Amino acid sequence: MLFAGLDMGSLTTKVVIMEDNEVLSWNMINSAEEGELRARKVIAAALEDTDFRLEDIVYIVVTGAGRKSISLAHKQRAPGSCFARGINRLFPTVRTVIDVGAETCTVVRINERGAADDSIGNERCASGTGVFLETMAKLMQMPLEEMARASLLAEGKAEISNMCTIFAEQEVISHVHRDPPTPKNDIIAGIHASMATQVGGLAKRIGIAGDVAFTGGVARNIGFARALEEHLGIRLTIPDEPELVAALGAACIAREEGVRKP
Amino acid sequence: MPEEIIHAAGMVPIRLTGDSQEPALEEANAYMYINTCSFVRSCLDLVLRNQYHFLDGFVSAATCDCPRRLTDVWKHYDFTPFVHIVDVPRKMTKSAHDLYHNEVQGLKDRLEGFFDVEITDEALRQTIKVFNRTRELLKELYDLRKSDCPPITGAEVLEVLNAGFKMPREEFNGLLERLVGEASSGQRAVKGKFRLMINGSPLNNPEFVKTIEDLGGLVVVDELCTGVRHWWDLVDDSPEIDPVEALSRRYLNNFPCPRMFPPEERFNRALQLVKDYRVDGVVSEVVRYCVHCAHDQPLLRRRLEIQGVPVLELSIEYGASGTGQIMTRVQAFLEMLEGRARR
Amino acid sequence: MTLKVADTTKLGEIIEVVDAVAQMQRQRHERQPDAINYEIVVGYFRRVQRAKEEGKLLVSHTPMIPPEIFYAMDIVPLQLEFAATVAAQIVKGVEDCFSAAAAFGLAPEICSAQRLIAGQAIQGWLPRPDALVWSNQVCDNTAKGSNLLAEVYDCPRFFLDRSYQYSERGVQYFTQQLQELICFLEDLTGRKMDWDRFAEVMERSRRLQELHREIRELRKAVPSPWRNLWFIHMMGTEMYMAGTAEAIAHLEAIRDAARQKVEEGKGYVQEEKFRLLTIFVPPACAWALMGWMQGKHGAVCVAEPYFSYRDGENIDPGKPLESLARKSFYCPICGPMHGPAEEGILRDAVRDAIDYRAEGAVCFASIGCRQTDACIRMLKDSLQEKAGIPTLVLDNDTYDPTYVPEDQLKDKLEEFFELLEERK
Repeated sequence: MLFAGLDMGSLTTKVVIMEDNEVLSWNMINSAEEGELRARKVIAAALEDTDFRLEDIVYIVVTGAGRKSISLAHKQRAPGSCFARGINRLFPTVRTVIDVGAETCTVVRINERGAADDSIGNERCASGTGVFLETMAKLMQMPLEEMARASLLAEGKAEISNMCTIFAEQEVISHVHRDPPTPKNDIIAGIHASMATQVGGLAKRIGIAGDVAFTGGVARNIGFARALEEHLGIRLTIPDEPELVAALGAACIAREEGVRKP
Repeated sequence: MPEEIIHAAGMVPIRLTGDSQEPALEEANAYMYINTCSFVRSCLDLVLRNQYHFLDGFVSAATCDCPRRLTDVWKHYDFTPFVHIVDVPRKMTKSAHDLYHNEVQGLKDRLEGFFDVEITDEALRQTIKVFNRTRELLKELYDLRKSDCPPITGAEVLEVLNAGFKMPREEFNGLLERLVGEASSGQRAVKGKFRLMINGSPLNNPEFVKTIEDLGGLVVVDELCTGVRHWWDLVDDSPEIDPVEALSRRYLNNFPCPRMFPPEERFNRALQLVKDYRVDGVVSEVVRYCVHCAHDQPLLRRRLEIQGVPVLELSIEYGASGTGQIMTRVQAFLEMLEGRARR
Repeated sequence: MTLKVADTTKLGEIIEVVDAVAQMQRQRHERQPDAINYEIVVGYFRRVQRAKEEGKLLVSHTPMIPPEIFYAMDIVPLQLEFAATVAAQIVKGVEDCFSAAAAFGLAPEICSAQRLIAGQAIQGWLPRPDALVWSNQVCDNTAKGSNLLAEVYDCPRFFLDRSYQYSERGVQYFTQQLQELICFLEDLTGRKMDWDRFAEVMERSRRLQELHREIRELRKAVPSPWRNLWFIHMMGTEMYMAGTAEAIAHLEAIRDAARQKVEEGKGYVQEEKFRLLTIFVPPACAWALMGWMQGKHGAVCVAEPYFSYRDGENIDPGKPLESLARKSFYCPICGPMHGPAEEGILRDAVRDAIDYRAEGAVCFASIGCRQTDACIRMLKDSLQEKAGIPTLVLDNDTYDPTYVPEDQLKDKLEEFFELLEERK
């Protein structure tokens, strides 16, 4: 039997498909299309090399910011529950998940049973999210991937004290135009440290416990991940496919619900 | 909060202040809330960053919501073994005084019991002399600022006051005596285009004052709890009055904080300062969520404006040094004063 | 400051709307307590409307000034925050009040209740009072707000100061303050306080307190006999009607309705899914949330530690002033809000969570309310450690629906219900 977990992110749409209790396939698309369309597309892409079709999926759970109004899903679940379930399948000892996506930053605390105990998200502000890093990459005229590595080479760290994207931009510009200019790598290290303070601050608000996993698209950014580790003073567990954790969790829930269903 | 009680117990009172910068406060934000004023959050942030690890105890006063809740947090998370809060009425009536006197006595008893020390009347009288000496010296220093070209800037005075909050009082008095002596010698004269007063929320960052002074506005006086309100009134040291009584009288009836009722008492004193120090304009810095100041600000502003004294209101976070927008607004304010002077 | 001429048509509008609501509730048997509540509101504002023509003294005041004193002296009280709350839900143009307050110079960080009250005064939405009474019993905002009002209304004023901690000296001080308030009012009315009448009023206040506690006991039942919105109604009655027969009738109706459910072994909703502790109040602009939580999700508010009478103390009608002074330290709102947290709200919240078998706590974090918000982390940690329940924090503004829209609050609540479901 097939089950699917859909994660309707603001930038990307992800799906994990499970055959019984094993992951059959997954996919991720970048699309600004209307939700239902994106959902169908990503599922089709995931099933492409298999013998299955959409109709073969018995139960679909949808999560993510765009989870409302996806009619092909059987159930909606909040991201918190899905992060908890997904990470618990991958790393059962993890008790805290920090997820940084394109426009969201979520911290979830997980109990011994692998369920979410508490969660907190960024509100009305993009400063601790992927958008912040993208804005900064544009400002530094550098591809995001390159920027991610640059801070690892930094010898110093520029002071970026403002959390607000707009004011932080001003600070970065003043570093660039300083005489002599602050080295690029140092500015980027400062950008990463500033965002780590923001994300770390959110995590501290619900309290960090046990092993900590870092997920979401931004977890691929090695420079930022190191900055966050440094800020929190701990090692972070990063899954191989950090964007897929919520979709995986949704798929696990889909399986449970689907099996329970008569 | 009468520091004298702590001093007379043979301990060093250290005034809790925050950081002289606008930090991210994310440690503090984890424990309090964004609508806790940044003065209190900045203090808490330093505590959480282990910058006050040398403290044996914390004594606070129930002055406003944020410090009261800071005391709750302090107690709940057990930052120091000793925590005590002193109730302070908002009125200055006879029964208010009875209540406050009882509170000061309570602090004395609690310190004695907890630390197993005795606070004798003799020690209190001695302490009162030391602390009054500080007040007299600060008054002398402030009096020098009444001249056309004072020997000291507002930013420098704030640095002096900051030092006093954190060091043994006897030592501070010695240094202060030297400073007042040198300042009275007439060898230094600071000029400014305009004479300004700063008032509002707790202020500790001299850089903020310096920004204003670098633009040409000389700060000649303040109406701050970290300034005149800290030292203004003397404690009655006559031998016939009980020292705890004398202390409670002084601290309750001192130059009032905006929390006190009726508000006119503070307004009148502020207006008197403006007159005595020949102030051309007032810079009001109100830390966000400093509710007491925020409520009275429009009322004080009207009173100042009626006296022909323009007011610049700056809504800031505690620790702000005065860059960017603040600079622009101060500049515009000084230009406006210039325009008025020409007319 | 030039004051706009009082335009009491807004008051008329409020009366009309609330009256219609009351009549609607009258039609439904299970809504009798609600009907009484709305009728009380109508009566309250009618008295305000007629005070001048009936030659009665009209005194505007902020929350937690003991209304018993006004009722004993035949003075018509107008609780400004309550008027603001009702107006915010009914009358159009609340934004104008906020703008007027801003134009006067009130900073946006001042809580929206006080800005709305000031704005209403400046805009002349309410009749001009003969005197103003206010107090620090809730917070710094209530302690300071009326300095501006006194200037706007240019009328006699009295500030009632209460100590922060509960002590015998504190009670003495507050008793003295209440005595001074009575003298102040006697001077204005030209009449002496009738102490016999005062004792009668205090007897009714004692009865009200008894009913509060009786209701609290009934609410321990599983399933809960409680309609979520009732606690807000009860708070209103307590704050502006304590000492009156109407208030007793209101609480008796609630008590009877709850008792009937308990005796039948039924809950107010058919399927009770979650038992919640409510920390602070939902935004005035979204009280409908309470019904939505209960109706759509079976989420019942079982206890409200900020709004409950603490155990132990009772009113003694023979000692009216001292009783009122003591009441301020253990009664709803000012007991837990203006007092130390450890032996106050933290202890009460944990105790309520356990006694009422709460499965989660919902904390309404209003951006204007500094001293409740500063307790959130401590509350969250205490509830987790000592009662084993999670807390949802809902950022909002009590009077400004644009700060966080109702839909967002609903989304967050639904997420929280999911989390609670998973924990089962």
